[in-house]
Amino acid sequence: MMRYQVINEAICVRKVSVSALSSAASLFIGDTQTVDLRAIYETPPEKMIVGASIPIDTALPAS
Amino acid sequence: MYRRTSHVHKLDVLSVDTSSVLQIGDSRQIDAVANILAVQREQAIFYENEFMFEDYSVFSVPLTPPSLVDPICIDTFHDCPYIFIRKVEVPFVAGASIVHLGSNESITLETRVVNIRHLFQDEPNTRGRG
Repeated sequence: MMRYQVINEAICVRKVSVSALSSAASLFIGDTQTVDLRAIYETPPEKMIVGASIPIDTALPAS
Repeated sequence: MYRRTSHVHKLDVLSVDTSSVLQIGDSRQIDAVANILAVQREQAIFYENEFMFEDYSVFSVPLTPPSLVDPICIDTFHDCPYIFIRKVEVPFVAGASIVHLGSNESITLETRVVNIRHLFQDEPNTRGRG
């Protein structure tokens, strides 16, 4: 079995500056046991629709 | 589990998006899920029955974390029981993310985003001058 040993000495930080946290991101100050982050980001070229009309099957308002 | 105490003197946050958490203090379990279907259409005409989540497989595929084959024995020793931070700046926090000051046991965050752009006309042909 793998043995993983960590010794945390004093930590003293003046400033933490993050411009932005994106989706499913975590800025954590403290101790934790389990972190599970999952993200799917999809914007493929075929998701760019070019055309003057809205498809007729979707253009009909829901009755 | 023995945990440290976090000291943060100043925290600057401007905007926290949907399903996000800004937690000050200890917590036990945080689960945040966000499904986002973003449609940018040249003209803002939208109908009720278009762009349903079920039409996009991204929102239904299972996302399972890889399982640990070998168990790991983790020993953590805190020589200093504190974490000191003078200032934390995070102006923007997007969907299903967290800013956490304090300790925790388990965090699970999940986001699925599909971006769609709909233009009514193709780009004008500039004949190489553009």
